[in-house]
Amino acid sequence: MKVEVLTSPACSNCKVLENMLENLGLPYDLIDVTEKPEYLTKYPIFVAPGLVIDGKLVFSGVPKIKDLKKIIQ
Amino acid sequence: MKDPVCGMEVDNGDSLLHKGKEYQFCCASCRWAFEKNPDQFIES
Repeated sequence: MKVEVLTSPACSNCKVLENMLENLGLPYDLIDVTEKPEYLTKYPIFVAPGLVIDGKLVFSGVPKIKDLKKIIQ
Repeated sequence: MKDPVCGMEVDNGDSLLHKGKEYQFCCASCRWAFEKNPDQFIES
């Protein structure tokens, strides 16, 4: 499972999602969309974080932990 | 009132009525995220 967190500088909620993934033991790549704007073309989000799993945008904004667990099962 | 998406305290923000409850947003981006998937941000 490939997990990517779309983030932006000074995004405090991104840290919340990162902590969730770390607590679940799920490795992820952090993508700063200001450095890689092509990600915004592929995943049109207006809020960070965006959570992409296996190439599909599953959440924009911090998900509920129970919803995140459902998605990764 | 707390923006349900980013958690920021907002007064007289952009408001939205959802299932009989009013929510306020700090910006159009947070409103966009809420409208896209309200259940993600509503306390259950």
